[in-house]
Amino acid sequence: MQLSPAERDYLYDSLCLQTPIRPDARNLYQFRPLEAKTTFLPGSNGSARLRMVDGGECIVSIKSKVVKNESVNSLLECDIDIQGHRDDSNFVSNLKYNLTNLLTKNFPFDALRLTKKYSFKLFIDCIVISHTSYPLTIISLATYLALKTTRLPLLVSEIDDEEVEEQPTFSDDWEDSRLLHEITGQTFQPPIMITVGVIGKNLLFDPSLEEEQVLENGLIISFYNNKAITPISNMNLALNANKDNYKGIDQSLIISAINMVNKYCSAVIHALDTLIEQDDEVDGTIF
Amino acid sequence: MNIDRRRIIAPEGITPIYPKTSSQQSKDDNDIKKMFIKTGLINNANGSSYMEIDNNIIEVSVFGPRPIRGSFIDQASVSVECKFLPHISQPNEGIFNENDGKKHGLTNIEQKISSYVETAILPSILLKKYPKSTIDLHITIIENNTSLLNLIGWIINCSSIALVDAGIEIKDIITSGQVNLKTVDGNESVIVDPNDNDNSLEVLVSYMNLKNDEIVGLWIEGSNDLDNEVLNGLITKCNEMSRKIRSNINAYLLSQQ
Repeated sequence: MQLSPAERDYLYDSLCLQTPIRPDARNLYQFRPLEAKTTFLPGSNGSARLRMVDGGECIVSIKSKVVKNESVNSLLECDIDIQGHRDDSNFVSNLKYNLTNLLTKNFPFDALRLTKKYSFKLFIDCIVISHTSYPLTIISLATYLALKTTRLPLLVSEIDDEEVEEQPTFSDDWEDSRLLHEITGQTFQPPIMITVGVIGKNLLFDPSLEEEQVLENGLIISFYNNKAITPISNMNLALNANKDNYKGIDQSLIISAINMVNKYCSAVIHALDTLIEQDDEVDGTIF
Repeated sequence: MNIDRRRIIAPEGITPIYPKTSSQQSKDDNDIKKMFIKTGLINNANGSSYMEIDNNIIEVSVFGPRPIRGSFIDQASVSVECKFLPHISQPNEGIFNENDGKKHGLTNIEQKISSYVETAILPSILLKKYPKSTIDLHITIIENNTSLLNLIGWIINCSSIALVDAGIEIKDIITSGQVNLKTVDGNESVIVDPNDNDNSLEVLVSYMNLKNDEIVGLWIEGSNDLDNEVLNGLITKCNEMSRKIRSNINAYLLSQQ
């Protein structure tokens, strides 16, 4: 919904206050409520569906394929499909670049190595069915849930196939399949990306559609293993807003945005992990 | 005797005859690459600039303000299109650009560069002055021998000059600084305007230096230890580099008067 000039002024002023008032009465560091369901696509290794209160909805499916090591550039491939946008549009390409960049630089690729010759390649397909605010947050949170619940079949053939011409074979029993962190034996928290709105001297997490229209700038900060990481970049989050109040950022705000992510994002990860645990207990339908 | 008889073996102690490329010339860690600027080379564009930075060549042409037909808009809309010449390899294209072979539209890397430039340039243009119009920036990368972030930094500088050449009203000339923090055996060293990105923390910042050093473009990549103090220092270094480039661009533009 496009805001009128008067509405925009009112919203801008209330977000610029020393103690800002957000339209939905959230704290600056608070995310919008979301609901999600994992492991519901029977044909995928991992899947998640995530819905936001504003109607944003994203489905992520992760599938694996056995590939020869030397035949591929990367063991991850992300694809993003957004309702109402062409696949070759700047909007979609950018999201795809951001997600690919984040995951390829922060992923335990050891978990995908099968034998000396073969590896798993993961195909991460995201479908955004509807979105109002910039969809990077829902895509990245849904990808988190899907990766966290991705199961790969157990290898039963030899690991060392340097000398023998043998293709890897897997256990027929799906009960033997393992989660990614069970394969590496280390805790694995997939990286996520967070959008932070900049307005006046204030920073707000997860801006909504209305807030995006009055923001002065937007930051995208990544989070992995309990700390803020690169890539960090800035961008205009609103798609076709009035660009009047779009301006530059002060250096000190960038540092405080990173501090804010460091301080509060562990809670987001914790909430998502709890969601997965509770999801395991109830085995219901998704609708 | 195990000698390869199919080849004629060269005598010992020879040196290759390839010409040395200028990237192999030693650059001091604090130096900014030498640049060559030329404006107005493209006749049918409203403004254009051509830049050689060491052995990287960038060309930007600005078309606009052009009137648009149909719907009414009260301020200019800006579009940026960045293209690598087809024979140039793009940074990390194996990871980011899928379905190679099909050449239509922009690749993901080109789209990413375009949107960085758009994000950075937009706050400087006085859009309200140009209702019912579009301003198009066409960026061509003719030669590239540097890292992605460094390249983008120079594209921003080149685009700003092209906007000035086109006579479009702007608040400030946007310039960028790019520095790397390289860690070798625990020793950290800062490299200003680097050529490569081996395992270092890369910081690219674009500024409006006249307007209280407002940051209009930001991209941080690379190693994952983000220390506030260090990052602050690196951003300040970028500011210094950006100011130096700004004063050089000023000098060039004044000499054109």
